[in-house]
Amino acid sequence: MTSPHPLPPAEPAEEAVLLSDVYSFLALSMRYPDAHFLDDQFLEAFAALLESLELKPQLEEFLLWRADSADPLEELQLEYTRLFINSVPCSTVPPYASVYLDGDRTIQGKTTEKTKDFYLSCGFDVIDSTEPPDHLQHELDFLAALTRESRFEEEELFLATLFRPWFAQFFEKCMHEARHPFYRVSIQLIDFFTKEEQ
Amino acid sequence: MAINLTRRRFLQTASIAAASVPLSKVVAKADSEVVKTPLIPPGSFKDTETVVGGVCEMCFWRCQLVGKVRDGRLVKIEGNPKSIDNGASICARGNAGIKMLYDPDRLKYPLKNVGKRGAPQWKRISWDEALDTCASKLKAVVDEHGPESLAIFPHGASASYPFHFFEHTVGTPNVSEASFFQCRGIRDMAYVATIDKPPGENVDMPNSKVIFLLGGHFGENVHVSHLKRYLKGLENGAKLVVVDPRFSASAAKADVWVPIRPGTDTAMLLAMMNYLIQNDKHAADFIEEYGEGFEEFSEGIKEWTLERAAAECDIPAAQIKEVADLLAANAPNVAIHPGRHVSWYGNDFQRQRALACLTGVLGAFGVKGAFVPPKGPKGLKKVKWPHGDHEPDRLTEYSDNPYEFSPPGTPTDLIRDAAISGKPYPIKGCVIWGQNPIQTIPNQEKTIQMLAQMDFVMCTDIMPTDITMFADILLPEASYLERYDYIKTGTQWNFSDEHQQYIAPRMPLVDPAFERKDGIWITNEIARRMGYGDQIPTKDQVEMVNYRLSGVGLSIDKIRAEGGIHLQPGKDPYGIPEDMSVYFYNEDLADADYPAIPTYIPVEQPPAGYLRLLYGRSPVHTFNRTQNNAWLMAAMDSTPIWLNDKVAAKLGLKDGDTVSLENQDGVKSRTTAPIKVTPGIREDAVYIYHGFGSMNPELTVGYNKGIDDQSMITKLAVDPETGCHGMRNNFVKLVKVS
Amino acid sequence: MQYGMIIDIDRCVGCHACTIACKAEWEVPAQYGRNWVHRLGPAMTTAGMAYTYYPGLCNHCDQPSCVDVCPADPVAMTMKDAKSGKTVTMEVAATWKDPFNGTVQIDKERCIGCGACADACPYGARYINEALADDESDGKADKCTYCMPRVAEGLQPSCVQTCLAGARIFGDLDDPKSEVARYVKRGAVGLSSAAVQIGPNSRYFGSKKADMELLMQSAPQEMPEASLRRIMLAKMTRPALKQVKELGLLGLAGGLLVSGLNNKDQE
Repeated sequence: MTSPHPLPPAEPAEEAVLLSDVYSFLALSMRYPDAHFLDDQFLEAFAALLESLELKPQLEEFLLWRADSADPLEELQLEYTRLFINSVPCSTVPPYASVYLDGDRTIQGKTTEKTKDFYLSCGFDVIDSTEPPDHLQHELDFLAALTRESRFEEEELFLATLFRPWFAQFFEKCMHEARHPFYRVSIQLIDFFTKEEQ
Repeated sequence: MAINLTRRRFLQTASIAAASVPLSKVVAKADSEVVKTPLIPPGSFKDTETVVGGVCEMCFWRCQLVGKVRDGRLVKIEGNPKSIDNGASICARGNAGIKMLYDPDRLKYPLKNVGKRGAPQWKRISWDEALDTCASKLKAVVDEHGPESLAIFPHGASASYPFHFFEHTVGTPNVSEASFFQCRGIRDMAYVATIDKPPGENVDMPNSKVIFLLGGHFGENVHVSHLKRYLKGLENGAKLVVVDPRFSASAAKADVWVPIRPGTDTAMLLAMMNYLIQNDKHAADFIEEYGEGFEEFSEGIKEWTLERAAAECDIPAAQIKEVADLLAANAPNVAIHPGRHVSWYGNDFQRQRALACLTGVLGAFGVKGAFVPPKGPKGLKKVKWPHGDHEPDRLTEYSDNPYEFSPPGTPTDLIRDAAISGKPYPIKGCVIWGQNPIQTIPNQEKTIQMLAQMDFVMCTDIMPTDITMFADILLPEASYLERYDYIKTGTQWNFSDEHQQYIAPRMPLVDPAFERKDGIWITNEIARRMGYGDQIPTKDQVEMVNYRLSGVGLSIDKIRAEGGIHLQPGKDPYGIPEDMSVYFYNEDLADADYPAIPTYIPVEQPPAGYLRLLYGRSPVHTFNRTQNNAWLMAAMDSTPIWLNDKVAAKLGLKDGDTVSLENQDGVKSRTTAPIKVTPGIREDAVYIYHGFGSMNPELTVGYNKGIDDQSMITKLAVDPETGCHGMRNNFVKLVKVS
Repeated sequence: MQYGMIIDIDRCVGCHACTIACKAEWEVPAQYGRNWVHRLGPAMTTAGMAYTYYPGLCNHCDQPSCVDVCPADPVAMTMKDAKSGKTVTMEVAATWKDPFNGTVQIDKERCIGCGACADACPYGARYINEALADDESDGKADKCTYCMPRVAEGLQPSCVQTCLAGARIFGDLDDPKSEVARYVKRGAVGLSSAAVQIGPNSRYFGSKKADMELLMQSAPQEMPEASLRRIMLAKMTRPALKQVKELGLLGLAGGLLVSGLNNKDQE
């Protein structure tokens, strides 16, 4: 493991909030799409994020899809199900850390315990969710919670010890399997925001 | 993706306002110590809580379990030390339950198929939408075509409640239980026609002098307390006779192995009985007191000399005589095992009748070592769906063969043929609950045709089995480790020990994850939506189990406090009931134009160049239910094809060669398997494990592993008395792949 | 005291429960096993047809070939007799034979995962578990411990507890009154051959000649060639690793060294 990337000790508060918002937003993108959050506003924010990152081809592809799509919500639900829940032929990429780290592809493995312990040690917990604590969505929510409080050392530790080790594998598989621009780009954004600074 | 910015630069310069989201899912809790997970797994006994009340359902023997739970994660399953059934022991499958529990391929959410049946495209939907859809579609079918237009394919403890709703309250008789029509229904009905009761596997093996197995391959077929009884018998000196075309795990422990020609077992049994009667070695006093129609019977089987049977069965006459003499010399303390999976050749009712009659000829009922049903606890209440006033229109009424000795439900092929032809009436709705008809029912093409013409197909399961690919709505069920339902009862396994009874209701060892739900809840929700809300017999799974236990003054809480199992004094199971009868000749059979005494019906023998396909159990798998279990598949992930060594030499095949199979109808296996060359199988047959070769790619561990025996069973055989399938009448040749 | 295990193949029905219970107890990855069941036959023997099982596990040998090859730096270790409380201090590498209970154990903290011990075992009882890799190693050697942590808690080894046939019996071979010692008297034997005689303490009993003949065919017929070069290389690598580590180039150089080792070993 290389040394933590050198964020200055006095990270400006607004940067922390912005990063937290980005994590939260990406967490949402990894949640099963439903009408409560996946609306025009959400999709516009997604476009804005791509624009500000100067991802022109991705933005164009995304806007093209939006213009063509009769029912974006339904489309994303289908792709989410195919990619993360069940699919025939099988191209499912389960979004759980334990599946990649604990051998034999398992849900609720030792890593799940460790992840939950990490949350608890930072004063957070996942409650009222049908997904285990090491679901990608929850890990991003957790990162959002940490950064909102400018707890960058803990963020860095979590990224290095628990997040990147599985996400890197997940990312590879996802990029191979994901067809829809929304998920292809979301996964790349997550990769970008959780990578160590070069 | 080329992102030109760094994260830091982005954060410093970004001008967007990303959607601000309240972190409602993540709430602060009291600080706690960080626990560093040790490098070395600490063992299941360290820092775990022992949760009692588990009842296994990796198979259907239902051993009693405890769970070792650490931080909400079930780390190990063990036998409940309080059990007087399995004790602290469980089998490989029981131990591997946690791999099923935490399998990422398991069904997690209700799914709607927006693609085609058989080639699904899934969409996760809410339970409300799923239940609304199931209820409205099923109701529409019933409203248009009547209740009979629903076909139900249930299997397992959790399927009883829903199928009784559809059978009793909605009113369809078209229920095909795999455990009856493709398994033990023939045995049960044949014994009912002979001794008035289904036999279970109730032979007192621990105290037997001779154990007689027809096809039983214990060790490859694993049921814990049943094996304990068998092994205790062997330890106590019982002689073991195994009749099997294959040198099975039991044959390997046998004193006499009879490598019989497949399909001819009844001939051997008739010759044994005839020999015993002719030589006055039968239990004359027992037969005098309890036998019915013995004269017709003994007269009718006279033609079965040892020599005739020897020729038919391709075994020495001396061996048949040896077995008969061994049994007679030790009668009545002999265990004539009734078998369990007996749907073999389409002549099985007669064979099972012959087994029951052999037990009678030896007087082997009610005494030590013989056929002895246990005296288990009585008084549990029943939860019943009320019967509607609809008089069901049964398919057997229209059939050339009325299958008068059919087990409960309707013979599978009557349902399937009616669905395909639309005659005598349409069958347009299908509920599949825990069964996998693709690998349960022979002739997959017909099953798929049946499903294709349905207006609606719903499936409930825990795994994405092959059949689930054909569902319109697919519901994820809580597994046996996450629900209440069944109440296992019984006695101590060795009748020589202190007589005890036990009552063990299944209790969850962990909570269900994702959106998995128990069958009581799912059924009630569908029933309510179909307009049967006022008929619902129980509010939920806990109420149901508590109500049933109230009949014996117990409750879930009480039994949990007792360690998950309630023990009470038992009763001596020995003795013959006063009303016992053994119908050597059965008048009801005669009235229905079936053979009234056990009769041998020859089956077709393999054509030149073909071998009979036999199948059986793998010790680490239960049918197709365990085919995605990482541990069990690591132990056995294929179907080695047992091939006689002389035949292999003739065919130029070597041990380990990879082959595919092609059957008499030209159907080729989708997958391949290695050959196991051995002298331990007859020259006219091959043998593989049942349940492999799943075709659903969602089963990422089990997909295409080994050969699916059921895919090779295309030629149908139906037992004339019961309507159950016979599944060992197909023939294959081996096609070398590498 | 010498712990040993008897496997009564008259009783064994080949159900494989022992292997899965072990996996659950010690979280063994699916592709590995601390124990195993090989199905043998049906095959002809001089005594007729046989179909039996080889339920194998570490033999905790009298002269374990895996112990001396361990290249980890020896440290002084104090061992305690669970019964008498007696202690003894020994210089041991990362694997050793316990002087009190006779079991062969591994210190995973100090194991460098070189695999020399796994290579040295004629029974194939050891494997390298990559899931236990840390900064110092690509994995850790692992094998059956006779469930010593369970035994210390008064429990039976996991495989013994789950065995429905009562075919696995664990105990002290040195205690003549123990069931395992009585089995040895009745003829329970380890899997040995002319070339492999290192005193296995997992032993097999079967009253059928055909079964035992078939089972004995599973005995290893030769000692694995002691890969001295590999051991030497592993030893030499360690100071080199330390130096490299100090230079802050661990990841890169370590990778090169390891791959170089593997190549040589395959020659």
